[in-house]
Amino acid sequence: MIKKIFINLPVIALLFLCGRMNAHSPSITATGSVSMTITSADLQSGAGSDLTSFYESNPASVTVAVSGAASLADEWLINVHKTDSTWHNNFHLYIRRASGEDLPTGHVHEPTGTTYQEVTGSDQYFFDGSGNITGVQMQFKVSGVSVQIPPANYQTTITYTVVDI
Amino acid sequence: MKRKLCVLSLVSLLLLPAGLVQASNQATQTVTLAVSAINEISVSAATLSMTVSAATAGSQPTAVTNTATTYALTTNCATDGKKITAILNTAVPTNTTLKITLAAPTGASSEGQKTLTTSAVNVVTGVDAVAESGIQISYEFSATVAAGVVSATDVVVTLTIADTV
Repeated sequence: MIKKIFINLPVIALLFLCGRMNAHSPSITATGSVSMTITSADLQSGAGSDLTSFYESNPASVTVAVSGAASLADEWLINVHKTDSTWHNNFHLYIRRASGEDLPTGHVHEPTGTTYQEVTGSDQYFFDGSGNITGVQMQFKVSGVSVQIPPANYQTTITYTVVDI
Repeated sequence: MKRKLCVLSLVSLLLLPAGLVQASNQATQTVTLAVSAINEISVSAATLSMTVSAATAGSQPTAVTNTATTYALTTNCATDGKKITAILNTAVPTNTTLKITLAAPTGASSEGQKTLTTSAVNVVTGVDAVAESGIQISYEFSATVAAGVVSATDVVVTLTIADTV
């Protein structure tokens, strides 16, 4: 009997730890989408001039929330990457956190993520914090725009990944 | 048998919350950049004046030329996707002729000197995506003795960016 308990104990402990580790893993939700339209109004100085080379999104249009943290002290970080569907190679996409959150339930660690960083196809650290937060505004900037880019709708998908630390 | 069922139940209970949490550790958002068709043309001066007033004895009156104006062009069209046409709003007086020559922007071709009428005529073809200014416009105004003395007449020349058909 004792022998059987010893055999099963590591298995049960491992399963228990797995459950404990993941039961309070924070989850992330993103609300809104980003759409920027470039027209002749964006020419630097009318006919004969090129388009303004970069464009910024309205920060209020996109927010991120983290929930499910075990406590106010439960720390996490957010990674970001993009997956292109109809993106142009000349474009460079940057992201920054446009608002800070210091709520009774959690907060973002300042100043992480407040300066623009390029979003690539590989996961990169973006910002970190602890506890549960809502309404953190994201702002995007696109550079590399010129009249050499044919008219079309260009699209990429941003993926945020929250990692418990 | 009972023991195996217990272990399986335990495994299910421990893994179930973990699976649920892991499913939402990522969130996605779409970034759309819509580039509209841009076709802008402008001229450096809204008006210019030309007067035929001299002649060599035995010859028709001497034609006059004007190279004082230029045009600016911005388009994000496809390669050879556009052309420039020129048209008069009203015919010039009888026995007078107004001709125009547009130099070509980079990548395009000038159609050379063209007589202006109330029907559109191609003056530049094979226009690519470009943003250039200061491109030469030349006018030539001539009259035969049959025109007699003609009072000053205003005509409007319209340059249009059109699709290459």
